[in-house]
Amino acid sequence: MIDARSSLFTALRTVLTGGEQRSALAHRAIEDRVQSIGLSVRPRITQNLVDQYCNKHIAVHGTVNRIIGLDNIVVATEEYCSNQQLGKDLVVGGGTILDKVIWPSEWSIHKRSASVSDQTVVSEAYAGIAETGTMVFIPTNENPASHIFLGTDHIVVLDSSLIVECQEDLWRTIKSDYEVFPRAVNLVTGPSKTGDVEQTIEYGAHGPARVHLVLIDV
Amino acid sequence: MNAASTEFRRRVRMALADDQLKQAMNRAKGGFVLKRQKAIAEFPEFHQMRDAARDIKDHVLTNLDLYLEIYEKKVLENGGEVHWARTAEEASSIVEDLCSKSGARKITKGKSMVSEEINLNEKLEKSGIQVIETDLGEYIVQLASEKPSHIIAPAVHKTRDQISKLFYQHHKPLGYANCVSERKDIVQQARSVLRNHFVESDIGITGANFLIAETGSSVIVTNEGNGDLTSTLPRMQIVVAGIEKVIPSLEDLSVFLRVLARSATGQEMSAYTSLYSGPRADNTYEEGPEQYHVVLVDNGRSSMLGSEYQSMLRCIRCGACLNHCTVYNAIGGHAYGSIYPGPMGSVLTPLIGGYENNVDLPNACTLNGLCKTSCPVHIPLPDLLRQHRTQQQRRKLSPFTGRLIFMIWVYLVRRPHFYQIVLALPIWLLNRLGRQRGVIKWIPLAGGWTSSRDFPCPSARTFQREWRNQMRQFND
Repeated sequence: MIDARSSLFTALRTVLTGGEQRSALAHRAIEDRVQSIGLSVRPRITQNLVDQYCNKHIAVHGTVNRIIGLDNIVVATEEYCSNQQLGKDLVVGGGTILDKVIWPSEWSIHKRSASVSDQTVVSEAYAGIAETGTMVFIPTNENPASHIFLGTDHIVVLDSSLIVECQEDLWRTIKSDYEVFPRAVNLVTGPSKTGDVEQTIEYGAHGPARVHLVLIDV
Repeated sequence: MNAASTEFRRRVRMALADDQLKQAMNRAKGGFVLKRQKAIAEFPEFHQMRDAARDIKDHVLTNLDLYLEIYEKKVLENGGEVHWARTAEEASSIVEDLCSKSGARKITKGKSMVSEEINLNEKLEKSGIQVIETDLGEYIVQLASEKPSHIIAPAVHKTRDQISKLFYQHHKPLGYANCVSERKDIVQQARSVLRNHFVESDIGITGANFLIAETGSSVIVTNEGNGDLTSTLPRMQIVVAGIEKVIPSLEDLSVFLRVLARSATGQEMSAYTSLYSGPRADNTYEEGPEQYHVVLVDNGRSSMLGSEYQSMLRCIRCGACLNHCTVYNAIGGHAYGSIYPGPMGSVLTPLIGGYENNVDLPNACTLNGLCKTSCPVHIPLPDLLRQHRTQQQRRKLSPFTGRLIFMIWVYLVRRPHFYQIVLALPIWLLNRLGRQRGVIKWIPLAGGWTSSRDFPCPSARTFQREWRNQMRQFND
């Protein structure tokens, strides 16, 4: 019996090449197409990158606090927790910025994966995309995917110099940073939401109901 | 009239008489359309993106074998496995086999239309595996033992009151004693119930909006985040996708993402767009699945390639054609009797489910063309529906009365002189019937029209006769 793969490729090639095998040239052309860059139409970004990023993030129901210097991360976090009446019980991720933060000793800081009962998570984004106000995460042991999806309040720290203009710039950055493309790349644009009840948006469907960006000029 | 046709008409009658459905559809109607219009107006490059998206899809389809090979190679390099399925039955059996061999008892699922297409839930449940849909809309229809009625809004046909009662019935035994009726509370209760399922799940199954050949990634686009919890927390991830989902590169993905969310929900970007490219890197990595499987489904797609229906393989399942369809908005999705309703479903369903079983779907259309103009990848849906109708006529699948009318029509239009004589009589009669009031309230054999609207009174003479008269006067 012919296996499904062979049978499918035979069917495809019967239509596409009259049953002939593809030439080496055809293979090369498609491999080149896969690697080619600069073909897509890029949207025009008219504002300053950081301003556009913040505006787009706010437009998708996010909140922003722009700060200068690492020292202000604790202050920004405290302010957010206080405004939202959250306890100082935080699951905190790692990263270039967060590893340097000294949290007040009286706060409960958990360096672990998030669980279903965790309320507030602080994590560091890999990059931001000005085009859509998107935060980009590449999960690691220190910044696991559960941090992005399980908390109710997600405080995201991002170095403003890591904001890129468009998605295309992000792909180039990842490919230059990673020899092997990461197992997961998560693009987050605003809080979790659903319109499944009466086609009306409610926030906090499965992921965070609130996403607070702490944008830092290091 | 065959059984499928009778069944379709029965469902349509039921849908039109269903006040709850009417209420839900009226509430939804126009929302997606207006949001889409606004999003497009704010994005000047939209039409360029649309053209680019169509061109990318067409390029991939003419080289589909090559792109699938590259995609497969990358997934294998990333440590994943690729499975190929010719039919729906093969696809669901592959997934069932993976689940059974791994000893899975509970499975969470992200919203996946192809898993509906292959009847995956039924297959797994027959094997004693608990399947939990995690997209809120899918979860609602699962509780109601129904199928989705819209490809991106599965529970669009449900009113809040119906959802509230459904939740009370199913969640009360879980300890949720109160019947929640506010939207916010309904969403929060679903979140609370489903959280434990995510954590307890052995396997996560999702579909894929796109498969990227360059990186071997499967891409899921959601607003809730359920697809990501499904892809991240269980020890095995299974992605089920049609073979046409492959695209060349990350940059091509950007083109599609820019048209997908705008066309579907009027968003610039959905809340979550995630790329998954294999199992977790190694055993020291705490999160992510140990195994990553992709099941690629043909189920009639390769037969569409090279045919007059090839452009249907461009479809990115945004739902814009459903949102704009007057018929869909009147009868809802279930009346179609297919998991793919609306214009895209009326084209696709006969191709994957056979003409005989879906004879009425291509005819459930006014051919107003709104689906074509709203399609982000330029699928000529009305043309494809006409093509289906032609096929039905040729295969004598359409109802005899309809075929007879068309045969008479064809006979007449091929004999212009005779046609004019034959047409003059009914026109004269209609004019006599309605000339006093300007409209006709009742026409023999046309009760379907006159029962709900007046028929405008035609002129006493046909256009051609009038034209001849005027030309004669002009020449004199």
